[in-house]
Amino acid sequence: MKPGKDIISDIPEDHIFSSKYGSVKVYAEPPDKQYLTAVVPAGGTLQLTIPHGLPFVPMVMWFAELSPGSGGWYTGAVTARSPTDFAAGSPYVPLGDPNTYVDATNIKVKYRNDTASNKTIKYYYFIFADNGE
Amino acid sequence: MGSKDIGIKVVKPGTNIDTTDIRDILMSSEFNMLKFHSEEAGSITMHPGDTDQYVDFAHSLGYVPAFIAFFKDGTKIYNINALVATNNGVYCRADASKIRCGWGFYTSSYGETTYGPTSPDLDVDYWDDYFDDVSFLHIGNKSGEGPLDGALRFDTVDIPQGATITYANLSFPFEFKGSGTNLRISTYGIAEDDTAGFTSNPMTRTKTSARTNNSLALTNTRCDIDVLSQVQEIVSRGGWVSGNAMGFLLFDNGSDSDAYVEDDRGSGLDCVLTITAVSGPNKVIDFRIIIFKDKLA
Repeated sequence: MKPGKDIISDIPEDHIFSSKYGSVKVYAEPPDKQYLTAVVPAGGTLQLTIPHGLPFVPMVMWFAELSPGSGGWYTGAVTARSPTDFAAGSPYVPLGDPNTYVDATNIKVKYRNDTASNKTIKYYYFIFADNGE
Repeated sequence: MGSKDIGIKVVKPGTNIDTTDIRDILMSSEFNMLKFHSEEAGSITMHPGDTDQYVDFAHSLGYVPAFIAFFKDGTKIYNINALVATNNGVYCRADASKIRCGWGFYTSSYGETTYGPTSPDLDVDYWDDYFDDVSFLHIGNKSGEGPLDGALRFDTVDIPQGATITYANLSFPFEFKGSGTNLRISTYGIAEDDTAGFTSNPMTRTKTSARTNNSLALTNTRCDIDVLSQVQEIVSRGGWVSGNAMGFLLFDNGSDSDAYVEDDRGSGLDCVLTITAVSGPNKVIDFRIIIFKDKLA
């Protein structure tokens, strides 16, 4: 139970953990819990493919620093950017991109770079041992 | 996985402790769990014309943490990536000291409405005052014809009544032109709620008090006329309704001898009206974020 909460409380918000409810478990993160980097080529795209090794479609949390060196990280693959990062020409995943998804085998994210210079993005993911589907 | 179990392992009620289905495990020393750091809430107010409003949540972790963010618009709560468009979006951006949640517009602004550029042939009526002709328009001072005036009418102008006009441009292409040097014209709006089509001479219709004088050499290829004040005066009329027709009167204003320009309606090189306006009520967006102690960078 959370500090100060009654042990017999059956309000889920009072529990830190309860065998009555499933808890989201982190099955995998990047090696050594260090973010990864990838270069999105000038005027081109980069397809990231990460096999997850689970026999089902898992829940995934995805984070990325889209403007190289900005220190600003976004959650999700298709994400709105701050006007500053948009103006800086940060790579992004276009709306409705068919190459960004999670299936029973892989996590796939495809970034696009509309600028005339290569952009190195940083990314981090949590793959959960729980169904996304 | 069962042979590697070390420490604690809790499975769902009724499930064998040696289950190999990872989804049946409630908790295990083998798997990390995201660790709660804090939960924060805040809001922003969007005003018409805003391009970026945001609220910052300090986290004091000294590194970029994992997080989940939600926003509430009206009565509905969404995950932070629910509002993503090509020119704006609700965003959430974490760095080593704070998490910023906001609504940013990239190429427009909150509450912005645009009209045009109008399509040639479909939306524009012409009136040439010298010939009482609706198939073309010539303006200026043509040798043998004298001062030339005319009118333009644009149909279905979707700008809300009372909107604040931030940009309005009437573009007149020089499809044909005379041999003179400088063209000088004065442009007024037609001060009517919904100006009628040009089935008769419109040149005596009431003019706006706003007027734009242009003077430019005929070596140019077009005349861009700032009609912001004229458009503002018209949409501010109590009887203006979005979708009404809007008109303009153009008069020669002392052009040089044989300094005139002509545009034929529907030639593909036509007069174009473009308007940008902002309007509407303020909007409050509530944010809620959950910050974890788990480090991204």
